[in-house]
Amino acid sequence: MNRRWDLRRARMGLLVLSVVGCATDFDPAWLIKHYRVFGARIENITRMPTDPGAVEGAPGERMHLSLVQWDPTVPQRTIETVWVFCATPMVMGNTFGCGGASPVIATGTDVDYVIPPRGFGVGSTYNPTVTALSYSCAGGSITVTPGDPVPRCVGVGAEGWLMTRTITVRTSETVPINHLPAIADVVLYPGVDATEAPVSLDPMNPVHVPRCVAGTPCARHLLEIRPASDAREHYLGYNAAAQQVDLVELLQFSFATTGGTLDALFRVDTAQIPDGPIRDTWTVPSTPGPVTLVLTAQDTRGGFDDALRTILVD
Amino acid sequence: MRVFRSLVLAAACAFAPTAQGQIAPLTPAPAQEPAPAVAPVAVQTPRLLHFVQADYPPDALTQGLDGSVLLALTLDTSGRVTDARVLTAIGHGFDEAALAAARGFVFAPATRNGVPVEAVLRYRYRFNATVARAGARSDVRAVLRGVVRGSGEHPLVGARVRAVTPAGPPREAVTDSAGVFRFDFTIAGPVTVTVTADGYAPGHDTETLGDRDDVSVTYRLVRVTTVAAHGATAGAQAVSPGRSEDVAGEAVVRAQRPAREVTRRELDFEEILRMPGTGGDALRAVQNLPGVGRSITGLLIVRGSTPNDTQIFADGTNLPLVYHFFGLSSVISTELLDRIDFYPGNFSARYGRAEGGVVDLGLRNPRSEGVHAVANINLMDASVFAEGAITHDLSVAFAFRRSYIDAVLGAVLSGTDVNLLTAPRYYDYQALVDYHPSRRDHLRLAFLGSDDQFALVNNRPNDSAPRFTGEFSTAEGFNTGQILWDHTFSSTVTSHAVASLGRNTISLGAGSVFALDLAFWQYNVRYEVQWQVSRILRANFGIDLTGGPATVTFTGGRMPTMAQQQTLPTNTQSAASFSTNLFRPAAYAELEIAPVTGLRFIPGLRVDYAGDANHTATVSPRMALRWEFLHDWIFKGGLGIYTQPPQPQESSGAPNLYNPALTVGNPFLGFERAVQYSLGLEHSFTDYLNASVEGFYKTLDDQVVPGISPLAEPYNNGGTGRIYGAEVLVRHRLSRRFYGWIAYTLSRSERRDPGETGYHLFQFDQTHILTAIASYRLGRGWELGARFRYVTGNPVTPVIGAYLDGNLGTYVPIYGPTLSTRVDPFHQLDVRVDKTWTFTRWNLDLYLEVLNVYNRTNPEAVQYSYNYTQSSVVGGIPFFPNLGIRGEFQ
Repeated sequence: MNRRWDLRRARMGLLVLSVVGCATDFDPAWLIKHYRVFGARIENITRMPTDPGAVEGAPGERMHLSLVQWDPTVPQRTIETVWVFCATPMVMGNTFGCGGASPVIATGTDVDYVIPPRGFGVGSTYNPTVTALSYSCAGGSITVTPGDPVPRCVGVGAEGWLMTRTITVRTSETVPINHLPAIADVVLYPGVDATEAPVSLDPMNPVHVPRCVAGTPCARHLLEIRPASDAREHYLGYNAAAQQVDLVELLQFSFATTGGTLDALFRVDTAQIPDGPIRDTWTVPSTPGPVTLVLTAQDTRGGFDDALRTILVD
Repeated sequence: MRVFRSLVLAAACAFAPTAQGQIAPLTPAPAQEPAPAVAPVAVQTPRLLHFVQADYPPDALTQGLDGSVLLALTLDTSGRVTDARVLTAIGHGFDEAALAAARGFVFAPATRNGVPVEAVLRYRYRFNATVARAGARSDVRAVLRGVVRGSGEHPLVGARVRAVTPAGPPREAVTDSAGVFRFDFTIAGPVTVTVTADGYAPGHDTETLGDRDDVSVTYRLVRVTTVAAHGATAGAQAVSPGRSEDVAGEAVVRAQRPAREVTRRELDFEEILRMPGTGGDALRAVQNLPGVGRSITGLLIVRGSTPNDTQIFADGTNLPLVYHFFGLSSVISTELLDRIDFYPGNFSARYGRAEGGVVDLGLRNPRSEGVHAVANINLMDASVFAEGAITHDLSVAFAFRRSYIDAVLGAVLSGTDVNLLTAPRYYDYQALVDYHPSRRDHLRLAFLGSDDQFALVNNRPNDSAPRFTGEFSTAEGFNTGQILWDHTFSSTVTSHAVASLGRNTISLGAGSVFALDLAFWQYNVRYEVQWQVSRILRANFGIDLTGGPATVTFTGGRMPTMAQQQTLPTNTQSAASFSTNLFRPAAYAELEIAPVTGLRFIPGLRVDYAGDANHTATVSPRMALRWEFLHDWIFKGGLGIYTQPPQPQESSGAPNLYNPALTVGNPFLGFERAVQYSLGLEHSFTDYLNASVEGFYKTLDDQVVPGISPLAEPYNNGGTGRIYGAEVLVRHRLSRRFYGWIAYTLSRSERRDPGETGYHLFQFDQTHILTAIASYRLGRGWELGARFRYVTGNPVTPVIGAYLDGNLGTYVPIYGPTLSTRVDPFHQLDVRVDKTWTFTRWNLDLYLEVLNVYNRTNPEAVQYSYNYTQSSVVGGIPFFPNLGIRGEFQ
């Protein structure tokens, strides 16, 4: 009966091979080399006065979406953003848009959206959802061509990115609401052994670090994301034995930079190292100037937070 | 597949001048080359003076079984047999009959410089049911046939063969275009043969034909100029050594009945053992046959079908697992295999629940005399095998293999972000107890098992799949007990029964994304009765039952089917824990009708039921035809319906725990169905060289595909498909020094999903599959082989863009037309070198197998950067040498 699993076994084998180091010389994911969209922060405006940070909403409630992006081009280009909200299911690549239903369209990197009363699609966990689709274009204009499954960013040197995001619709208030995993602080440890006192990276007062000088090893520092104490929430889910159990969110953090090098894009507080420090090693560049760090935190249930920090390389 | 594996014996046998059968002295060795000028040694090999006709085992005769038993005979200086033992047993009563007869043989002793010496020789005792029956019902008592060859092994056309018997007039025959001749004699006894051909020195020999013997010989003549150049000694060589039938080459003869299928491909053990690129693994050797696609992970892709459309049996027991990790080796020891029958399509009604092909492994009976053992060590794994007789009727065999990739991979991963929890390793075992309680019964108890374990922790999330971090684990295995019973009711009715019970387990885990645990107590029962109704009609009836309780738990995305498009949604979450009790009985009937010589017509009917296929039954009529319309020209064809129940997770009505209003599967799924057609032609050019060509066409209906909407039925029977193509095989069977083949498959495999107006390529479609294999024995224990393969690149679906999944922070590709492009073709050269040392009771084989000699980066897949803006191909196995040593004791 189990021959059908052969293919999964084969795919797992290929995946394991890629995990254990069969990568090629692609641009590293942590390097912000081109215009890039990192995600969208969603907050329930209606509930904000009493329940800040809620990322789910009931019909009739107003949600605020804020695009998290960075354009490393100097000077930064004009960003054009279009949002499409679809209450009906959408399959990418086959039907761009809302599958025939009339979408709600908004423009700008920060938009509001009021959840309609009915007619929702379902998300991967069968919850009612609204799909938000954004298309951002840096240095050009957005063009949608009939027959082309994706919109295009047209213009000399223009770069664009498509993003989908789902808003979970609450149909019952008995289930605990999900909140975004707030990033409380971002600190830098001089060196890689975290023995010296960390420096908090203040977005308003960038720290200074010396650049890498030829002939000497480049300095390496630890970056650490410190989530808020209540960032990891409990929820009902299924374990590997398919039993419904009380689970704690596994948070996923990303580090990206416009300068220097990082060890990895993602860090995940896995079951093997719960509550461990979320750190990445940053090697300073040899080129002086400002370096932008884009740091994100996600709970994979719709919660998203971000932090932009600047380090001045002298 | 029953063979003798000692190279030195084979080499010795290749030059034996004989009487009846193949005789080859072990000691002293016969002189083969012109005697050296210094210290010449004149050696005379033993010659059979008195032949004893063995009693043909009545049951074997009833079943139409042929066979040949390889014996080792010890002769004293008077030429009498002082000891006889079976080297390769074939069961069915042949071994005992051959031994009893051989002990009564009397030889002219071997001599060295004219002095009688003791000798050990190999004797192949042949049994031919056709001749035996013919002798019983007609005046033909013995047959002498063979091939006449000249230098360079080419057949001599128009050679004159003269046979003189003590009684009756001399007879003459002229060889045909393949160098073949044949004499039918009405009396047994010695026959003096003279072979003449223009430009060649005449050859003379004497054959002793026993009653009902069918003796096949090869005579080799030496060119006159050669004789002159080498003098009298060389001339003498032209007389006697003509008889150079190779023992290893003959070892492929085995007890078998004619195929009930249109196409059955067999592999010889000696070929498998040293086949380049397969590591001596029998099941990996199957992948070199026509109709079999290429897969880096070792999946069997037969005529464009999905791997799970092909069933693997071990003597009627369905094997849940064929290969260990990545197809490195199969789960059954090659040493234990008696045969591998591979049916790429249009197989008999005795097989079912498969739309693709069938591989039927036959476990061999342990030898009934003496002890035999093999040990094999290479860079991947080590194995041992032993067999021996406890009593005359009771024998046992055992095999075990374990890998040590764990040590290698552990070293590779040292210092990385990946830590091994369970080092990757596999093992398998087989144990057999064989018992003949009476002349009518044969019992065999077998235990088969396999286990693969692998677990690691990846502490560094992947840039494109951050949740693929944490623990990756896979554990897969089975333990099965099997009992087999062959019984002869009468001279015309026999039965074959096999029952097995085993536990199959699979456990897979991938970070927090996917987990699966499956445990299946599987039983198999097969009972077949074979009734020889008359000379022209044979009937086979059987039942075939499988099933058992299974428990499945999994969490993760919905399970994809192998046939689905990549654009269909599969990421909806599923979680389920359910038990099911599979019950899949089947009954079949088949007639074998042989109205005239050379024509066989095999209609069959199979009825399958599956409780897990919405309690439905299918009726599958099938038809096969084989017709030898000219000597060595066979026309074959087949037509039939083949059905396959859905997989349990696809037909499960268990609730999806994420949304209990939905089920994880569709309990209303029915059988998948294929209609298979094939037509072909086979021709034997010589005793060794043959060719076949076959065209096939398959239509697929009711294929299980995932539903388009996660809220609709998870799966449905809406998929269709078609597969068509042709296969060509030109094969030179193992001769004294050489074997090889060229296999070519041209095919196209297409599918159509619900809502599609046209067909799209299937992911396992491979238009051209070319495999060329050759192996040559250089002499002095050296053997060199090579394999070259060329396969069209696999279809892939192009990525035309990507978008960011803002919920996960990862990028998702946007695909272009499904499977509309291909990766570059695959081609690879593998070579193998063996050096064998032979000792009195054992031999040692040191081998080096080099995969991908010219280190081509064969694309197995396309990999992309984290946001799909950059791409490159994933290469397959690089240049890889594997050194091993194999010892065989007996």
